[in-house]
Order: sequence, then structure tokens, then C-alpha cells
Amino acid sequence: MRLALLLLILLTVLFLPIRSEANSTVKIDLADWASTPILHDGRIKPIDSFARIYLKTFSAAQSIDGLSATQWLAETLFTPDVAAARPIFKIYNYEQFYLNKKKSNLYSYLELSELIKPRLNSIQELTSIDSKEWSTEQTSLMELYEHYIIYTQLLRSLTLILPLNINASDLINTDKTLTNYIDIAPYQSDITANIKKTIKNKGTNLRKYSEDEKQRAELSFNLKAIESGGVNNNILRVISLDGRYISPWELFNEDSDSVNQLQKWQNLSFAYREDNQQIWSDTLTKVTISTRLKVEHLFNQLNLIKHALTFYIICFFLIIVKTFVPSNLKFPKVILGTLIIGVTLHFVHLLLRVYILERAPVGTLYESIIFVSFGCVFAALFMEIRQKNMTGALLGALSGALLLLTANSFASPDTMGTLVAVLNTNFWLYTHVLCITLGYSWCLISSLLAHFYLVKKAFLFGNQKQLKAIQTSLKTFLILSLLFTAIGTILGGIWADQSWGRFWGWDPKENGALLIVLWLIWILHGRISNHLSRLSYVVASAYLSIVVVIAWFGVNLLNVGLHSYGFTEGITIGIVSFCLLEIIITSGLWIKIHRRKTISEN
Amino acid sequence: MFSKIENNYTLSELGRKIANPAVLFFALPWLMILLIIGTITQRYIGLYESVQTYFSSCIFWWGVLPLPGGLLTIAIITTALSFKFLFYSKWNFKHSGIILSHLGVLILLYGGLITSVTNKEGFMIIPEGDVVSNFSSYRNRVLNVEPSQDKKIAIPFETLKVGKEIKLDDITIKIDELCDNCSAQAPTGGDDKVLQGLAENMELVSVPSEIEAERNLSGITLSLTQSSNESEIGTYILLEDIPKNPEFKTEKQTIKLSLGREKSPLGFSVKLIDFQKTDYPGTNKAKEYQSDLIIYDKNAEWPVKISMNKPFRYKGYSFYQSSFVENPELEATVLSVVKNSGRAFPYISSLIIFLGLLIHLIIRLISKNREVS
Repeated sequence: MRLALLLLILLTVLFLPIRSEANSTVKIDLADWASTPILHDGRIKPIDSFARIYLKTFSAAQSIDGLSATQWLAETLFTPDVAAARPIFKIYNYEQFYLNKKKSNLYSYLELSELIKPRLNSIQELTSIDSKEWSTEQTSLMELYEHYIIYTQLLRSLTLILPLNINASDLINTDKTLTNYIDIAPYQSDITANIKKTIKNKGTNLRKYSEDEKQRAELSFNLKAIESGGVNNNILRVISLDGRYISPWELFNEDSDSVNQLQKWQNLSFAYREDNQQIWSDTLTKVTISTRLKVEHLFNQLNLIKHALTFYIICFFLIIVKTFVPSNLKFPKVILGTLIIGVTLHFVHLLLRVYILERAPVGTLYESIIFVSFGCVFAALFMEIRQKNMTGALLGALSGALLLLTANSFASPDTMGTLVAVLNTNFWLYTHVLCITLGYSWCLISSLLAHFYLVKKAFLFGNQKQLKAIQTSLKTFLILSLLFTAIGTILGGIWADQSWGRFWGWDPKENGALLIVLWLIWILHGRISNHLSRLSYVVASAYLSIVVVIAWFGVNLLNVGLHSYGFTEGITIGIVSFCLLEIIITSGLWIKIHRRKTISEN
Repeated sequence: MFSKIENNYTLSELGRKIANPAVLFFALPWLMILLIIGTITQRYIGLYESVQTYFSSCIFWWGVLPLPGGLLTIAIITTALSFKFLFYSKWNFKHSGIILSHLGVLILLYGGLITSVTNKEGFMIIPEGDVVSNFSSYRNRVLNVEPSQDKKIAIPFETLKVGKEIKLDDITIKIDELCDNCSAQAPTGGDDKVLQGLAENMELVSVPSEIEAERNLSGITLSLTQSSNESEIGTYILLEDIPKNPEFKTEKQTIKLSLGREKSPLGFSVKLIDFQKTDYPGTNKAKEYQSDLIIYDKNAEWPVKISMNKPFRYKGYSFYQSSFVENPELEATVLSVVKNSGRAFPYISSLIIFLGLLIHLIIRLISKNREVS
């Protein structure tokens, strides 16, 4: 029964995201293409990652209109005319731009283009002003403009190999089959000369032109438009040449003799437009794809962290059900099972990140949250296995779920970006950063344990034995926290000594880490010396979460110091709200316990 | 005899009071408050000022109220811990972890003291192909006066005052104006001064200091007279880091004047062969910086490489890759130079603290398990 229940939960979670029918006529299987390499933002990644980053940038979604990110990108590259009409740009403040409200606030490239064109003068003026001085409306406009420029590049990145809708062979009088820009480019100067001659003889009024002359003028105009789209078009770096990755346009502009390198992409383009799976697959069989890229594609598809979050939430609700609904089912093992599955998925997610990025799993703020949440769940699980009283499971599920939800709000479209030069050292990332983030984990678990104690004491759940067990665990976690944060902080100083030439510089990030260490020393010594009563000691431990949040996120608000890679904007309200809420909850519980104690004494 | 016993009792009492956990219990929150204030104020008064006011001071003033600064607070904690460690530790196996941790913290604190006393730091800008044998201070400026080729006088900027006169044989240099952070404006005229060099086209205006003092552009306006006949040579402007500085000849000597960062000799020379900045492919984002150098010391020379997180250490100095200059006229590396006699202490202390806390944790878990069983 227990096994059946666990399996049911597992299957439900894994098959929860049912794919809706794609709103596309192309049925080609893009799985192999999704793993092919592209150089983007300094890292070689699979096309699938590239597609996900941009789709999320434009639409804040992982899929659009039933299309996966890869399907959307294929449509953008191979059929830009269709893609331009697909609503993909999320515009929340549509009223500011006098747009009609649309489903999901999504607008197409054509609509965005209409929005941008009349505002080009304002945009030009804004580029000369410091972005910090832009109003919210101006920032929105500039962000949309940036998206517009990027998507324009994407739409035009393969236009040199896409078929033209004009029979150019007849116009140029050649036997060769001329289907796209690179076929016709060698004749472009002749066509231009011909048009100039026509203009000289007949002027610019198209009505005076013969049908051939009109078509030639149209062809010339199209060629100029395609050519202008290729200037500085380097977004799609998919061609591997002499150890570097360049875009099709870069290849064409640098060395037009090497355009045969584009044959693969011409074949793919043909296969996609003709919906021909055979040609598509045959073309891709010749492409070698590294295991790392395949793993990254799999990593994207599995989205293990989302499933880990789901398991933590299920685990939390099962504990609630167990607490309030009497049941004959042997719940504890199912609860433990869901937590173990969650933490295993979480761990595999971290391992895959290490394998893909070839570095320690913590280099950015987002990654630190993912790692700290793993540390919390792991520690809580260890506690649950030792004590078997559901306290560890509850703390693990709660901390895992809350932190992963927080991580979601910190996730930029690309969560696997390259690191600044000073962080390019695996040794210190593995020692200092992992040590200090594990310290954060133990601190948060200590704080949660303290909250748990206070709730139990305030609302008279549990007996003295349970409270004593919590206190014992709390002290162990506090010493563990001190061990990891103190060593992590000193290791940080040693890293600073290696990188900047000084062990300690009173930099905000360093001070934040020291603050946690001092707080821990204070509460541990305060209790030993009896300066803190048992209750005050637990309350001080509960406030540890505030100290950690200030050290972890708060110091970034100052925007000063050498840790510039950690700066984040727009989190002030979140931090202040959290601290206030913590103060209210913890102080409230403290007062309640104190009052009860006073009444019982009287 | 009685008096001896009384003295011993008093000393013992005093020691016990110093080692009292209450000292730590009240000093730590104060240190945390200083830490918070000193961190937040960095945004408004800069790192250096903040460190000087709150962390490196014994006393700082809050309005009319004197409050203990970071140095005094840390000194109190260090003294208390030293007494506790030496005289009141429980020297048994059960407390071995705590004793080790306290020892580690003491090593860290005393190491910090040694560092703060002996630390010397600055920077070197070495253009490609150039040889440099000294390093510049980040903050200290000096007025350099070279009355002859083999003589150089460096006068600290902070000792200069408006109206101060510097006498050199036949020449008197008088300070007319000083500014810690200067801006230039078109000359307003009006005086009968003989303006020379930069002073012909500009005059200095004092502007508020930068938050980070090392970004200030210091300047001096000074006038020179010939002492023998009291004739005015001219009024000059010296601006920091301006390569073209006043130089004038008298019958007896050629005098050069300049304003710049205080320089300290290394005792050996460093030549930059090549500086390389490697970007992540397809971006302008730096992945790695590296300087290829040659060290010249007496008759020996050898190549070294310095890159991010990989400093070069020699004769007590550590050289770190900190920045670079790259423009059409100049390619140069910027190295941080640090001489710190206490740099080994954090390494030793971290190991001892780690061992101490680990032992304490293991002993605790074992004893708890025994209690349970």
C-alpha cells in the first residue's frame, strides 16, 4: 500500500506537464537538432538552451502557443514570415503603449515593430542618458526595444540561405538555379548596375517599367534589405570554423568562398519548410554532438528542480494531513519517501550542473539559493532519519519548498551564465563558497528549529521530552553553522588574499559573513554563560534567519565593494518584508510564551 | 605577607573579571552594531573613511558622545579571550575542541594585529616593455622637488599649508593654493602674477572629495621667486598624474616639480613583457588576465607570470593582477603590491579553528549518543 501510494505520487508528478497540441503545421521531430552546438554568451551550449533563454526573455515562458522553445526557434529561423506574426512579446504595461489588451499580454513582432517605429527618436535620446535616470516607462520602452533588436537579428540570421520568392535565374539570364541570397549575391553588382541604367532612362516611376524591370527592381530592393540584415548579425554562432564559432552572416561576410559550410543549414531549411523528416534526419546524422551538450539538453527537458519542488510541497502537505487527519496508513515512510525522492532529484540536478558547467555548483546568487536549499533538506533528512519524529521531514520540506520558490524569482532567463574572471577558480569555489553556503543552510535549519520550538511551546504542542530533543538538535546545528560559517569566512579571506592581496578589507560581503559568525558566537556563549535564558537563546536562534538574509542578500543592496558580481536590484521590499514578518512572528511567539509563564507562576 | 596575599587575590580577581564571559556577551553586540553601521556608511562616505571611523579607531564621536571604536572593541575581546584561554580554560579532553577553537581565534586576532601594524600596500602601473622598480601608494600624495639630478625631496601633501614656503638655495617656493580634489576652470585673471605652464590656461577650483579618496585629483598652485633679488619667476599649477611638469633653470640649478603618489622602492625591478586579456569567446567579458614579466634583481633575471588568483611572491612582497590599461597609445598592466608579515596567520588559524570545532562537535555527538543509550 505504502509503495503503491509512493509510486502514484511519483507518476503523477513526473507526467504532470501534459503537452498541449502545438499550433504549428510543421511536424518534424527536432530532438536531435536541439542538441546541436551554438556559442552564446561565451559558452557552447545546445540550441535548446539558446532557444529557452530567448523565449523566456521575450515571453517569460518556457513554451509558447503550444510550441516548445526549440520549435519556436526553428520557426523563427526557417520561416521568419510566419514567426513574425506569432505573439511572443510579453508587454504588461500595454496601456502605456496604447495597445489593445490581448490574451496573456502577448504581442507579435509585427505589432512590436509598429510600437517601436514612431518612438525611435525618443529611444535615440534615451541612449544618451544614464539608464539609472530613466523612468519606469522609459525603462520598459528600452527593454522592449532591446528585445525588438535581438529578435530582428534572430529573424534575419538565416535569410541568406532562405528561398526568395522571385525567379532570379530568368532575370539574370543564367542557367544556374538561383534560389537564395548567397546564390544571387555574385550577380548583385550587375543587377544594381542594370537598375541604375533603367532609372537613368525611365526615372523612378515604376509604372513606366516593363514587367522584367519591375521584378528586377523588386529583386534589387530585396537583396539590399537582406544584405542590411546581415550587418553585424552574429547572434546565431552555429558554424564551427578554425576552432571558433561564427554566425552564417559572419562566415559569408568574412569569407564568401567558405559558404559551402552552410550547406547543412540549407538542407535543414529546405527540410523544415517542406516538412521532410527524411532530409532533416539525414542532415543531422552527419553532425557530431558532444555528450555534454546531449546531457544539457536532457537537463533542460527533465527540469529536475521543478520536480524536486513538487515533491517538497507534496511532502509538506502529507505531513499536514498526517497531523490533522487520523489515518491507518503508515504515513511516515511515504512522507520520508517523498522527501528522499525530492532531495535525490535536487542532488542529481546539482550534479548535472557541475558536469555541464565544469565548475562548482555555486557561482551566482541563484545557484547559491539552489545549493542552500539542498543543504537544508539534506540536513533535515539526516535529522529525520536519526530522530524519526517528523520534525526533520517538516523542516526539510518547508525549507526546500520555500527556498526553491525564492530561487525561481531570482532565475534570470540564462541560469548558466559565465562567471567574472575572479570567480574562475574551481579550488576557491569548491572550498570557500560551498563552505559558506552550507553554513547558511545549517543556520536556516537552526532558525526553523527554533521557530518550531517556539510554536510548540506557545501552543502547547508536544511534551518536555520533545522540546528537549529540539533543543539538543538546535545546539548541534548551531555548532555546525558556526563551524561552516567561520571556516567559510576565513577561507573567503584567504581567497581575497590570493586575488586582491589582502585578507580582510571590511567589504560589505565580508562584513555580512562576519555578522553571522559573531551572532552565532554570541548566542552560543550567551547560553553557556547563562546570560541568555533558555527561551531568549531560542528566540535569538530564530532571528538567525534575519541575520542570514541580511548577509546573503541585504549587503548586495549597498552596491559597494569588490563583490560586484553579487549585486541585485529590486529586492529591497522582499528583504524588508521578510525581516518585519520574522520579527512579528518570533516576537509574537516569545510574548505569548512569556505571558503563559507569568500566568502559571502567579 | 598579608599584602602579598591581598595582591595575589586582587590580581586573580582582576584576571577573573577580564576573562568573564560577560565581557564577550556585551562586547559582541557592540561589534555587530559597529559592523552594521560601518557597512551601511560605506555607501555614503566610502570604504576608507568608514574603516577609519568605525573599525580602525579606538574612539569615535557620535555627536558629543565618545563611543568605543572597532579597534578598542576587538582589543577588549582579544584581552578577555587571552585571559580566559591562558588562565581559566578547562584543560581536559572534553574541552579540547573548545580550547583549540579559542587558540585558533587568538592566532587570527593577533595575526590581524601584526597585519595592521606591518601591512604596506600600493600599486604599480607597468606599460609594455617598461621596467619599474617602485610602487605607488593608493592614497598618499607627495610634492616632488628635484633641485638637481641626484637630489629629490618628497614632501607629503598633507603637511603642505597655504602660505608655506620651501627654500632651495636661491629659490623660494610658496604654496598659494591646495586642493585635495580639484577641477580646472578658465583663469579669471585680476592678479599681477606671472602665469606659467598650465597656469596660463587654467586655474584650480576645489571640489568635494570623491567617496573613494584614491579617486581624488589633487592639485597645487605655487609661486616661485628668486631669493637673491626677490624677482618673481612665475606661478605654476601642479596636477596629479599630469606627465608634463614644470621645469626651470636658474643660473645655479635646474629644478623640476611634480605632484604624484608617494612611491616606495622595491629593491628589485619588474619589466612587463606582455599583458593579455582573454575574453569568453564571442563576448567582451573577461575570462582571464595575465601579465608576463621579467624580474631583475642584482645580476639575476627570470620570467614570471601573474594572473587572476595566481599572485607572485618575492622578498616579502606579493604582486597581484588587479587591473589593466588598454588604449591605442598605451597597453599596461596594473598590479597590486602588498607586503604583509601576518599573512600566514589566517591559514594557520583556519586549520586550528576547523579542527577545534570539529573535535568539539564529535565529542558532543558521542556524549549525546552515550546519554541516549
